[in-house]
Amino acid sequence: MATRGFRYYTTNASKFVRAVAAVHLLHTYVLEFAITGGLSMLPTLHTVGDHVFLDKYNHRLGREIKVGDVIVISKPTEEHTRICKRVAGLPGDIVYCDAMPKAPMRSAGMPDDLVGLSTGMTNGRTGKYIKVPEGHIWILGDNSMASLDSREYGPVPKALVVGKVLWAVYWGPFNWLPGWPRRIGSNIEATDLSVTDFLPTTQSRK
Amino acid sequence: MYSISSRFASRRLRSTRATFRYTAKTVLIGLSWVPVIAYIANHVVWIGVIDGSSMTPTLNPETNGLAKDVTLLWKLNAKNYSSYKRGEVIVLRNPRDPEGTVVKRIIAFEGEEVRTRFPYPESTVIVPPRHFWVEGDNIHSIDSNTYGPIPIGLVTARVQTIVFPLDRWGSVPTAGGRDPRSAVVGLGYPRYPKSTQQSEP
Repeated sequence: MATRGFRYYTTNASKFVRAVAAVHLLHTYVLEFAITGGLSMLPTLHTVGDHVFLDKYNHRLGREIKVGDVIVISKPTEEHTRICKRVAGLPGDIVYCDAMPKAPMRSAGMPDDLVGLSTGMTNGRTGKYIKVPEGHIWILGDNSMASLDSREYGPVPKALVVGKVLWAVYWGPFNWLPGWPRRIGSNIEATDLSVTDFLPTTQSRK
Repeated sequence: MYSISSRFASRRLRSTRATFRYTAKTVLIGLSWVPVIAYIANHVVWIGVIDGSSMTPTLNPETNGLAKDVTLLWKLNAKNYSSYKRGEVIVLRNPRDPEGTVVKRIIAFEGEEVRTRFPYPESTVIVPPRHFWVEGDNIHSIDSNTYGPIPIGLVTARVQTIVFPLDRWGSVPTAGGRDPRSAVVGLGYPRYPKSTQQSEP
């Protein structure tokens, strides 16, 4: 009986290598499927079990990012970690850095010897209006009470942006089936509102 | 082989369709290796041409701007903070322009207090967690003294070897630019131990 020779293994190994490299290329530069967790983007994203599709092709390195986009960036204070927040300011925009209580860095997974050492970028600038410098963006979590975002890290360089979240699929730990994909849109719903859109109605007083 | 032509035999050995199929198959197989090359270029090692004079005289010492150094960019382990040593030259994305990259030298690590230079607004600053303080060897360079400490997420590659020009072929020196012992508070120069013997008159 003929055994599988050298040629069989090298041909299949080279096919495997090429397939893995192609998938990696798609995953890094086109579209990625990632799992999110944490409280900082409630109610847009669930605390656990939300799986998101990231568009990298158009939005890597902060290209074509607009205010209101939910994006994933590399965490500035930790390596090999990513965080998911919403863009609140583009370069040149004036944003308000509210005086949030500084969350203890330990809860964010900071190594022990650096606990208490924040980026210092917002020291003395909380409670003030800041102009976002060129090449940087201002990010905010939707659940601002429980979110470490630009109020702690300061303006974040656009080159840290990994991608934009397009769709989220919720498959919770106690659910048998995944939920229907939800389009994660910008929360800028309408820009052509007028005064009459904000007048109280009979319904609103109930 | 498309055809044999000689005095004895003049006929095609393969049809046009077969040749077309062979070419198409070869081209597709060639293309399938492109993602592997792309992976190596982005995550292992690639060649980089250094532009600009911010690392003069270590890199690009010619002032005419025509001779550019060609170096190897090592991308393996590039995002691993603890693998960096003081004095290493790194390539990072420009914090002020995400499409561009800059080449600078690491002066200080997280938690260290740096004595800043003009035009930084404070006189000393503590480097945040997982950030580097980088400076160009040229005193006129735009570096951390302008845009502050940079996060590890911006670092793309290390520059360790000069490939061209051949007379400076070899490792990039780890010293050049500001001496970290004067830049970093607490690093300091070694003190010579005091002699306990009386000195001879």
